[in-house]
Amino acid sequence: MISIRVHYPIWLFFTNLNHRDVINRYPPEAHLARAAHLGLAKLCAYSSKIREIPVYLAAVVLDPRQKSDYFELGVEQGDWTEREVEAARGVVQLLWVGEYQQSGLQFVSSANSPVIREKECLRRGTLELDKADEHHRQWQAKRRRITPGSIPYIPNNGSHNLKLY
Amino acid sequence: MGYFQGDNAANNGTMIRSIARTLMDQNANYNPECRQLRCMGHVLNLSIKAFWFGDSGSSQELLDVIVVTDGTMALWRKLGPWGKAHNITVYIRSSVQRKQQLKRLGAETLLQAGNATRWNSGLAMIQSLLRNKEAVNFFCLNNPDLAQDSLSDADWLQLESAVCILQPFLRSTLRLESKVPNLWEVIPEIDYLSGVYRYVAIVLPILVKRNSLPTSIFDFN
Repeated sequence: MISIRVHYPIWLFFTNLNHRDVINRYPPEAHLARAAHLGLAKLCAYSSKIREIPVYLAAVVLDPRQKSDYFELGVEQGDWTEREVEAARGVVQLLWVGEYQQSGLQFVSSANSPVIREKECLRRGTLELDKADEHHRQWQAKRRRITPGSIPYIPNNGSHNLKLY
Repeated sequence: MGYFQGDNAANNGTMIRSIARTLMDQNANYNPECRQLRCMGHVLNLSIKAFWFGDSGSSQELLDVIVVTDGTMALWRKLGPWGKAHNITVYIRSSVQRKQQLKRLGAETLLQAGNATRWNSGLAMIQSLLRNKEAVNFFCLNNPDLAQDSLSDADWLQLESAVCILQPFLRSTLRLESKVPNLWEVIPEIDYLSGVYRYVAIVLPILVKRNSLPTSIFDFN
């Protein structure tokens, strides 16, 4: 089994570079690496937009398995920078104070909680997809301080009747 | 409350800005930029297309081609191994005789073709070629039309590695499509896919140089 550890400064170094500069360093026959850079550039363009939208950030923080651990561990793993995390914290705080703290409303969600959805997603698929899921779970474990199964299963209050899949 | 999710078309942005203007006339604080939720499927689609076609801008042009000519085959070939893979697939699928010839050469399954509207169809195409590698290699050897498109060992290796990117995309597509809201998954899924790209773009070339390429990124410990 090959084991390679990529330390995050290298990752950040590449993330901050102009993708075109990087691509030009590959020989012409390295189609795959060049293509991956182009795909990454496109994904990063949208990722930076989405990271500014408060509701997406709040959704991550409100997931009891992730909380703000996700961002802190993301910095360790090289997905996030300290600056982005600081900005994200500010934005979520502002959303809470500005729209929810003073409203006095009781919110009852009709949606499934993340934990329930997680259980419902463990299903369907081919062997390859299972392998991809496993790869994703390993990735995920590095961005959560809570171990799987340590969150009590909280049934929804019955306000919804959605049948999935 | 007060969020809108639609596709990423510009007219949706215009609609939300118009709603925001009406609300602001009534002194409500409503920032349209923050209220428009993106269509993740579209983001994944654009990223895969950038991976597949680069920034040549010719993706739609290439995908819209129905009649295959030497000219369009040359265009596809420029895209590298998956361009050649596309040419081979289209060539074989375009007649019953060729399909039968491939079957006689030992192909277990029919080749699947990629198409313009499903971004995961490229994965299906590559996987079906990989499953029938021997037969496809024989077929290319026996057909002078495909002389320029036959896949070298290095090409096959790159196709195998492309699967390492496309498979997580398929997983994320299935994961993000849902009848119920799953906003908390959006940022982690994008971060995960970026990580997969970075791995392929940065670590794989190093492994290739060392001649120690893993068969799949999922073999990683």
